[in-house]
Amino acid sequence: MTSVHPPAAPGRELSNPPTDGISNLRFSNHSDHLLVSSWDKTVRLYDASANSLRGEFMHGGPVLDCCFHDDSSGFSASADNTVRRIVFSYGKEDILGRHDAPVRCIEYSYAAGQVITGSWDKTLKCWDPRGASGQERTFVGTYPQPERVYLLSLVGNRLVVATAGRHVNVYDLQKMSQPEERRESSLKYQTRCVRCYPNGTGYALSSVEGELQWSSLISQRPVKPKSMYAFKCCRKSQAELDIVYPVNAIALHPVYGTFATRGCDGFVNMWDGNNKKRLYQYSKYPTSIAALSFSRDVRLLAVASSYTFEEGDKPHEPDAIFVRSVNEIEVKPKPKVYPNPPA
Amino acid sequence: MLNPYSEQFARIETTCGSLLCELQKIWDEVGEADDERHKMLFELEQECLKVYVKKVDEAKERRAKLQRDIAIAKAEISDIRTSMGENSVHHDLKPGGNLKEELETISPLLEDMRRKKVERINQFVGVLEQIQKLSNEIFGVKEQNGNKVLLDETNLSLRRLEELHSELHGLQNEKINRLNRVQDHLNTLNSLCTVLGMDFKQTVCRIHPSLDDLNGAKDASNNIARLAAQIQSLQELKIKRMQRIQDLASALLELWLLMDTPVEEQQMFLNVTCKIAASEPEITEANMLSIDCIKNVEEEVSRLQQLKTSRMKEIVLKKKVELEDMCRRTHMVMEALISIDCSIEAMEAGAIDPLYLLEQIDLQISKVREEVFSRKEILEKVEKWLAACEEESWLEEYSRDDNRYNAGRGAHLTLKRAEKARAVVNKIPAMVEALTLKTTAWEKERGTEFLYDGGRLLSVLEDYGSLRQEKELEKQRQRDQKKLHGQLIAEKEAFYGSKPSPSISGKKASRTSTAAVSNRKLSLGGTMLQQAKPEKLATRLHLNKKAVYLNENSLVNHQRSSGFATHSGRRSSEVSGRVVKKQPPRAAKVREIESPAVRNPLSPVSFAVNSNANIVNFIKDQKKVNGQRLNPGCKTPMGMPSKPTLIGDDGNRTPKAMPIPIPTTPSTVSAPMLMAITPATPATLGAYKVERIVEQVPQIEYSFEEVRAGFFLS
Repeated sequence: MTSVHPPAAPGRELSNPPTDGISNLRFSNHSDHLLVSSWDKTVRLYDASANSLRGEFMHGGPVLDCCFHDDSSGFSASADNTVRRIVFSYGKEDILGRHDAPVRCIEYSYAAGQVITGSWDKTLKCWDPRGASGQERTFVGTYPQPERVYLLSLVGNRLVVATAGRHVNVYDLQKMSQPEERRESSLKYQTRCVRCYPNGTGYALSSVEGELQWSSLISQRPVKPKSMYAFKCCRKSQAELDIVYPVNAIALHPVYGTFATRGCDGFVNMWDGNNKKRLYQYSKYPTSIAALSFSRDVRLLAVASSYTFEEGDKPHEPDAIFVRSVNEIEVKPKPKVYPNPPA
Repeated sequence: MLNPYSEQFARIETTCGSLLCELQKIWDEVGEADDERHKMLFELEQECLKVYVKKVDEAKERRAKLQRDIAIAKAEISDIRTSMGENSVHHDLKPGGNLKEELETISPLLEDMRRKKVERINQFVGVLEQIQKLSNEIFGVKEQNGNKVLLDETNLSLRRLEELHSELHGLQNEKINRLNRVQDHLNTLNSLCTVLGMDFKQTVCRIHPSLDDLNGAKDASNNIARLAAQIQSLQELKIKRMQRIQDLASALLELWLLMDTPVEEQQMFLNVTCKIAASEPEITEANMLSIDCIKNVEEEVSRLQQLKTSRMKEIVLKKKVELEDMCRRTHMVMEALISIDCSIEAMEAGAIDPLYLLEQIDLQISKVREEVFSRKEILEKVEKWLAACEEESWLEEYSRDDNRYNAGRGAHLTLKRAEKARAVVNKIPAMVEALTLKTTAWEKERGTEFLYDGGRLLSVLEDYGSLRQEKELEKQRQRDQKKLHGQLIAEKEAFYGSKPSPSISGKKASRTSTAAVSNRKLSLGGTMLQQAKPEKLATRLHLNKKAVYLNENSLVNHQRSSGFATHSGRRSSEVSGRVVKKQPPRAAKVREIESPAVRNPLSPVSFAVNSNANIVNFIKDQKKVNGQRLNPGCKTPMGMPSKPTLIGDDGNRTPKAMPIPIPTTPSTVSAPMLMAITPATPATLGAYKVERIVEQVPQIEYSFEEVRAGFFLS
């Protein structure tokens, strides 16, 4: 693959990283602020361009996910079963509500003005953060799922829920009573990450065994007949043995439709999904890549280099967050090489 | 002359005498003493003398002065004259005349001389200044000391002036020369710049700012040197670019020629290509060698090159298709094709030059052509033989049709065909013989095997021969059986009386027992049996895959041999060695896959149903079973007690043990075989299920996070 040039530096490392595994990080939609949740029971807010820690918010248990509300507040999903709203300027936190088991994932829908949380208690819950603190005022609804909810992804009103047992449910936020589509992941192994296309026509799934798959939604299916495909990544051949790594996450480029994957092998790869080509491989990070996020203008890519516990409790590199600037050339799909390829 | 003076003297004397007379009278009247008178007169005399002397002195002085002036003037004049190189004698003074006159005549002369001198000096100064200026300009700056004109005033001769003039002239000439040279340089520079597409002014200003200015001093000597250097470097650049553009142009021409580029497309670059053989000075067009132009041409060349590679690829692919086609037509399997496939991939990746690939393919094609020629004869024969085989299989089929003699539509045509087919079939052995001979001859001649669709033709022929033999045997056996059958019926009739038409069932049975089954009658045969149709044998030959053919063949053999194996022990002894050889492993296999659970050889009806369902899966199951057997995980359910094996043996033995109900045997005969297989399916399935369950029990999947958080489902 000729397009892979290992770059010199992995990017700028943020000071004051979390002291334990990073569960997720996200860029704000309005600024270069970065929200990071971690197993050290904190949520941290960084200014990525200024490399400064803007705030640190303690929780009762490990924080498994976080997301922005607007630039002044965000939400967190914690292993102590609670869903919290954090107001950054005051350091104040409201408890939006509770699940019966640790809350694994959280998303905020700008379209619906709701917070959606998924938990290992096999339910999905919606919350309205505009209500005051307290479960009875913010709670919107509970939607049972076939298995423990692992992942959520959201574009507009479309919500993709991935659970244990390789189930995938697609919801329309306006009609939450019934999933729009019930599916089973076509990947062979546990779903590790799910991410909607920015244009809402489909989603990408990745598994613990280094597979990545693109599916379009049934409602959009006629548009693109060959819209389902899978390929393997995060693999390494070593002494005739294919070592497969979990694909921890996918970050989609909002403009080009290219995407970055990160995995437990410590590599971040840029892919061109349409041409099924790897565009770029960033240099290896010290340990697993737990999370990735593009900033709003796609100039920056935040990379959480943090051991994701894939091999149980073992000594590992310290957790770190790298912010690297993204070159156009790394993310732009390459034009076809031949003007008229052989039929 | 003296007269007026003497008169004056006389008048003075008379005035003085009258005055003295008057004085005498006065003295007489006064009566002055003589002494006094003498004294007075003496005084008077003295005073007069004094006045005279003084005047004379003055006159003398003036004379001397005049003389001096004249001398000075004369000297000056002669001085000037000598310095101006004139003859001193030329204008001598007239010796006559007094001094004042002389002075009078000399002074204008002097004046004139002086004027002349000043004029001459001015001339000199002018010339010298010009010389100075020019030499300054030419030889560079000596402004400080050179500013003062050094004029030798002693030598103002015309000759000197002439000399200076000629010097000046020389300098002027040189200056003009230099200017011309600079102009020349500038012109060349200008043309170079235009050709190279550079900014002339900028280039010139870089050398010297004054060069751009038309009136500037352009001829400083170093300017010329620098200009020359610049021209030199530009010339080199030009040559370099020229070579580059000529290279490009030749590439362009080559590409045009290769690809028949339309003239309109060529038009744009004609100006480039027409200069392909031009020498350096011939390229004068503006911007001809500019970077843009070169870039343009380069782009065009690369575009054409790309086009060329893609065309090449097309051609390569076309050639490949041609080659494939040729191979297919001549039933050759080319290893080269595979390598070409590989290299096409490589070409697409850019690793192999398409040209080289093309050559290779062409080479292959020509090779194949040669080969085709040599194979032609044999191939024709093969063709005939295959056609004959087809006819044969048709005939076989046909002769098995009980209703073949029914008068129907077109029956006469089939009859005719059958007649012809028989004739052809009779010729087959001879054909095969001839073909074998030819092929062996060919192989001997060539030293290689004659391959037909990748398989050796001779072995195919051999296979066919053995097949034929088998068929013969089969026929023989059928005839025997029929005879036996007849006997049995006769016996039965002797026991129970005659039955309406037992022959139908018998016939049917015997047919099922053989491998050469007509699927028309055996509805439960399903796909598998259909595949085993002998007529397919011939048609398979047309397919490219010999492997499939062989597989099919062996499958038939299997089928047949297992049929034989299960048919009856008695018969197996009659079967040819080849088939017998296959029997034991087959039987062993059959026994192995039997399961204890479902096993009842004496209930053929249920098995007929079973077989109906399962016979289709026979092959698959067989494979699966084999796979399962290899799988150690399946050992437990597969490892069977000896009892079922015995039963299996029993099953195989049953017909042997009961020779009497033979009319029904054929159906049971096929049943044991099927029975041996059918139970295998549920058995293996069961094993599979068990395995799955075992696998699933400890496996409720957890994500890493759940494991880490210690979250487990109770």
